[in-house]
Amino acid sequence: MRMTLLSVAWRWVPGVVLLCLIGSGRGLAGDQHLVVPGHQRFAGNTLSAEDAGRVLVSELNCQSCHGEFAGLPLPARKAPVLTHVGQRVNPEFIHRLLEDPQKAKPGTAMPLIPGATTKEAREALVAFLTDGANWRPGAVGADAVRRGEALFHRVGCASCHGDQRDPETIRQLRLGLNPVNPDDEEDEEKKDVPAEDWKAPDFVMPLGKLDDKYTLSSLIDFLRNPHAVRPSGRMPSLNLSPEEARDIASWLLRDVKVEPNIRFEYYEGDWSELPDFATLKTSFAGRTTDFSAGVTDRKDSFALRFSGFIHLPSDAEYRFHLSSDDGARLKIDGDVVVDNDGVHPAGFREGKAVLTAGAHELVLEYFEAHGEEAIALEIEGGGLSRQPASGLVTLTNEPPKKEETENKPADGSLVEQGRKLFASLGCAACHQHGDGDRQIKWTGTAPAMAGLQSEKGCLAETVATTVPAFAFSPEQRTHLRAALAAQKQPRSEDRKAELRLGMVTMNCFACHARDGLAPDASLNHVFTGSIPEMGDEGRVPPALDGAGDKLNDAWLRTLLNEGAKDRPYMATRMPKFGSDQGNPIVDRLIALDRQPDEAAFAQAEAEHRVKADARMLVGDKGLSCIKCHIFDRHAATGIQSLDMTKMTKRLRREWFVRYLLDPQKYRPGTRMPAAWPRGQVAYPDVLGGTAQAQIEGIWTYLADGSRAKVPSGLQREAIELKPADRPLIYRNFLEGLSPRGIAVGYPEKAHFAWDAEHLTPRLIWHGAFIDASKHWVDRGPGNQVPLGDHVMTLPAGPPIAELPSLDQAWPDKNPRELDYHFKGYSLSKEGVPTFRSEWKGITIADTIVPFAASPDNGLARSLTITAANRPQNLWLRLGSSANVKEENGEWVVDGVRFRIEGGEPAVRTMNGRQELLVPVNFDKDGTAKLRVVMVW
Amino acid sequence: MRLLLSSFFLLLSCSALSAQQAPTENDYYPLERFRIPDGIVLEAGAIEPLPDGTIAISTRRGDIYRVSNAWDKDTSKVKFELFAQGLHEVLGLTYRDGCLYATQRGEVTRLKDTDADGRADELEAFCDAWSINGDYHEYAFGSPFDKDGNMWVVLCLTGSFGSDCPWRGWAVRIDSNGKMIPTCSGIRSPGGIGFNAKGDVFYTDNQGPWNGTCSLKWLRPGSFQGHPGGNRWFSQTEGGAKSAPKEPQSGSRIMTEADRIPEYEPPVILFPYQKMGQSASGIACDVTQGKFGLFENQMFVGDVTHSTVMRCFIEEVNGHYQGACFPFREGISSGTLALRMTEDGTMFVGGTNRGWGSRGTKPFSLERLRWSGKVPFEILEMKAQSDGFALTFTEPVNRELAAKIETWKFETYCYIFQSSYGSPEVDHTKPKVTKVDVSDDGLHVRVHLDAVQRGHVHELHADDLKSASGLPLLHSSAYYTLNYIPAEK
Repeated sequence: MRMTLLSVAWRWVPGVVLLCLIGSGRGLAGDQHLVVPGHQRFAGNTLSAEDAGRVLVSELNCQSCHGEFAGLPLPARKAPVLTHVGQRVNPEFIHRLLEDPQKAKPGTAMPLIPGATTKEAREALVAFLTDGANWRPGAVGADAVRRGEALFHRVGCASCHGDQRDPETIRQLRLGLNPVNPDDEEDEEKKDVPAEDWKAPDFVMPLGKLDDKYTLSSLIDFLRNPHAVRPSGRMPSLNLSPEEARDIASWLLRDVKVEPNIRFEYYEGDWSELPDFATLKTSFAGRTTDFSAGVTDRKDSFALRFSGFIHLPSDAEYRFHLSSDDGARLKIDGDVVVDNDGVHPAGFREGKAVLTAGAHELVLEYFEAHGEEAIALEIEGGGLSRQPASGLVTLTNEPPKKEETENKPADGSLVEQGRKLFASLGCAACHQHGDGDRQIKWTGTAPAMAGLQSEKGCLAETVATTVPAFAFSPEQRTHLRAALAAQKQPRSEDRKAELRLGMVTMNCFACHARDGLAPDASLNHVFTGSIPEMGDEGRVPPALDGAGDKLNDAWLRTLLNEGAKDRPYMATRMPKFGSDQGNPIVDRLIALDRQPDEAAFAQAEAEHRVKADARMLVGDKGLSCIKCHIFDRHAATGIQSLDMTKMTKRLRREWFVRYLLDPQKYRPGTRMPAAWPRGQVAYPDVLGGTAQAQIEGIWTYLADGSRAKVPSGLQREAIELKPADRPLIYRNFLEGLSPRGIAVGYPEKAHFAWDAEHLTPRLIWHGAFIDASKHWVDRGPGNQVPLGDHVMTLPAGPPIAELPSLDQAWPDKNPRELDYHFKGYSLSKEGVPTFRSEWKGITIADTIVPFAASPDNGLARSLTITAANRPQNLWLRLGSSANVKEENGEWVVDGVRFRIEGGEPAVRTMNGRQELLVPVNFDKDGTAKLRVVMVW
Repeated sequence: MRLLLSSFFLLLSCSALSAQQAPTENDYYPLERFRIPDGIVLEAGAIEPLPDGTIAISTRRGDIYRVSNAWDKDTSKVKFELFAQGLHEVLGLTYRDGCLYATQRGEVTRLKDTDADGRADELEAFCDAWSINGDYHEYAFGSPFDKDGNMWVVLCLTGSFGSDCPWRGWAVRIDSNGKMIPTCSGIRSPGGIGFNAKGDVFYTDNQGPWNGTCSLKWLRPGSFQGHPGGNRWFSQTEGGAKSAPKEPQSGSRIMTEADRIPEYEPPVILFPYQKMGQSASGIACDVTQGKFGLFENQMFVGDVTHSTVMRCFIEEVNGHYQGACFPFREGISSGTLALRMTEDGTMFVGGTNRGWGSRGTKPFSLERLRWSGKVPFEILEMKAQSDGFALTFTEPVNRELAAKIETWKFETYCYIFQSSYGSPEVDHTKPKVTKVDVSDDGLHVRVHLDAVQRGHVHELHADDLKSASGLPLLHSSAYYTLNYIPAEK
């Protein structure tokens, strides 16, 4: 028999079939045929037979045996990677899948494999695939199951896998979206539709009985990173958090049955902290499968003591996460690892323990005083991803028994037989096993694609026992034949058709509409949102017509390749498909949709003024965009629509301008109002009074992203400091300064911030002075930015330095390290500060006051520098920038115009930057006076 | 006339009522609230009386007000005038030689009003030699000048766990020339600083890493206060001469580490978490020679969360301070932060609950406590003995009740000394009272225990005790931190 097994190989070279098969049963499970959701949904109506067949070729990866198939819309779907499959999948399931694929996993593309029809062959294959693995089911928690059901139907799983809830629930949800009007006679029939008819459509991907296949931890791993074992992105990643993956996996495995593996004792009494259990008398005791308060119906005033042995895979530091309402304490081998005692709501507390591989005594004490009751214990470390700990616990310190299968512990020869079968039977043609050089290669052959006869081989009506038997429906067979036939004719490139076919392949139409195709109405109810006022826009993923024009290249790729969650109100997420699938779709979207790039818009005003004007337009004193749109960390005042500060990261400028002029044209039915109806301008005095200049201005303003200054109307708790009759000082943590910032605000609305570590002004600005709420509300973390506009940055200190020659670089150390000292400030009768500093006997007095200028007031800086030894090479640095230029006796640095009295400035280039320096010339008494006037 | 009469009856009925009911804190130390004018957010960070009869009050928002009529019988006569504004969270104020010294987050500033117009016009950087990182935890609390002419500043860590720049996590002294002398390491998150009657310097630190609960600590020069976060700056001490103390062992006990690390000064008083408070703050000492009642030379410590003022009795044992804390006064309107006792025996109490919640519901407050002249029945002193405690009372005790063993209920426990946040009470014991001696005058009670526990808080409850005149203790609990057990006499 062994010899026979080793000789099994399937060959389709006509007449040279060398096969020895025992038994003739090639039965398949009933009428179940393989399912490719996009094909299932569109093959009969939208797609030509040829295109429908091409989708099947792609999804069955016919090329893996038959070689190249020209002109697929996307890279073909690869079969799951089977390296270490024994660690994630029940060996029993592999057995059953090989025995009858459609019965084990309805809809699977896996064919019945000739050569694996014998029990011996399957045992060898399973022994090989599960060698060294220890598959053991674990219990799931009831709370996680409940949360998981809701998550599954919210984040997007249900769009491809269908609504798994009972028909009556589905009926209610669908009626809720589209209520029957009692006055409408036509709807009378709808009312009488029996619940069964509301069940999920047949074009969804069946889930099968997952509790036969996965353990909780292996399913969590799969959900978090499906691409690791299914690299072709058909099962996309929803970027689930560990908790979300645990909840969804728990729900998917809700029917798992495990033997009770944990002891518990139950006590009643009133405690506000954990009692001494040794002194208590138990009311009853028993065995359970989970650390859960569910062993009793009682809601208040009880305690539980769970015990058992936790079996750890390796010597390592393990982290235990314990959440409880109320108190709980975890002990391992008698030592307290997590103490979460006291009356409190649920919330995880972490403890660590370095533990050896093997069994450890575990005791979990818990009490519930009143209110909610909850308990959860999770473990991670030592190679275990974070998972419920209950699955690792047994009643005794004996290692957990392997699953009872008919297999004896795998012997080496059986494993070796399996390995050879894996290579020879064709498993290796589709499934990767091992990486790089260690990947197992298929040792058989199959006829090349071009020579395939569409009535024979796996496409024959009655499949020979020598070829893989796919569960084709007659229709699927017809489509494949059409695709094979068409392959022989030359195809003309049709991007639109290719994009559509690619989107069918990836099942994009399950969520998005484009080009006349749309999500099916029967699953419309699985799209939900948190803001009902937003209507369908707030819950259904957007239509993709024109998406290649709307979104910029980088963001399109991010969306497809990484997934996204840009719409906070929408429950469904954009999943991650990966770049192999994403890039071809993005390339076609761009090629089909993109309208030409346009040159940058030339504004009449300087950029800082454009931004200030646009900020006004966005705020509550202008067009009030902030009413509906989130602005960075600030919630909108009404509904919470897309974050404005992320728009320039996602969108193309050209589209943004056109869209704002006529939103309905680009998003029919959107709630986004037209702020410039037919090009009319509500604020004719702003930015030249044209719609384009205003919209372009808003784009420029938003391009600062999260650094864009918050518009008026959002900081509801603002504590605005308004200098009224005298200057105001605000000493605090300011953005752009050292932590020793001193902001000075003038009633004249020209302000500055002086840095007591750099001994020089660092910021100047116009308009509003400071919003102190950042520091004066709650604990006040973080740096404050000026509240006003036209914020200009001046160079860091030290302010003065001795330069024996102008080739010498300006000192770039923190001035404190170079012996510069802040000496404080004095205030004039009017409250104007004069800042004083000192360096090696040289003293500096620095006074900055506003003066009248147009359109905004300027600041005049007076410096009095004294030095008894009258140093010759002392300079004051005013500017450091890529570009310093002189214009009509003024020096322009980054938008600030300097007029300098008391010294002839020098401009030098140092390390690629230009510096504006002023010599400090002392009189005979050792005093130098300089006046620097700044307008901007 | 009718009005007068009814008031008279009201008065009568009030006094009749109070005679029947147990006295309250208010009977002995009434709390008087000042009305703060609209527009002033008086999150009082520090309070300092000035020679002109006003008091200076600094705020977390960076203002300094001069407050006049603060001693007036009628609290509504109080008047606020802005002396300075725009400073950075001022948590220390002290006056010397015509100048007010304000401790800001990054600097001690010397303020002067040279033209006597009521507003500071010279704001001199007196000392800014410590670094600051921009983290909101980086508070700086400043003391008055000590007996040697130095001011002390305690600097909070950069957060709970670490020190990102010099000298976060240190107490520094500043001499009269503004020169900084880093003096003690091991600070975590201070809530106040002050002196005892002898002029030694104490600060409060708060529950967190290496602080199982809040405590009062003695800033013995050169000492290490327990949190190793700031020890990395020993390399920058004058000439790098001093080396850092040994690293404490996480999971240990305070006295185990005190025996191992000579520099480590164990907390003088542990304030048991939840029982006494949750966030220890300002410190004041009664040196008014009786104007504040019988608690002469005792220290008072605020608690933000519980909106209380606690009372502390400390004594010297084996060259270290240790002692007991007692509840003193509750009901502060906001979270107690700044405490200041003035020479006349008035304790000013400033409150804020911004960022940290308090039982007192007001966002900020200014109040004063004065002694009514009545003596409350309290445990005046609690002194450690080799086998128990010697208690002194403010009033003679009922000698019969005091002599009963079951009148005195003791429990002991300590806290884990560890790098993670806080600690539960651990290592509980229940000492048995073996003997009680009551002095003839009824003012002293000596309680003998079968065992005392070194390094443990000894929690005493004497709920059943009555004074000779029949009153229960105003506060019947006490918590003695027994770091060192005195030798047998």
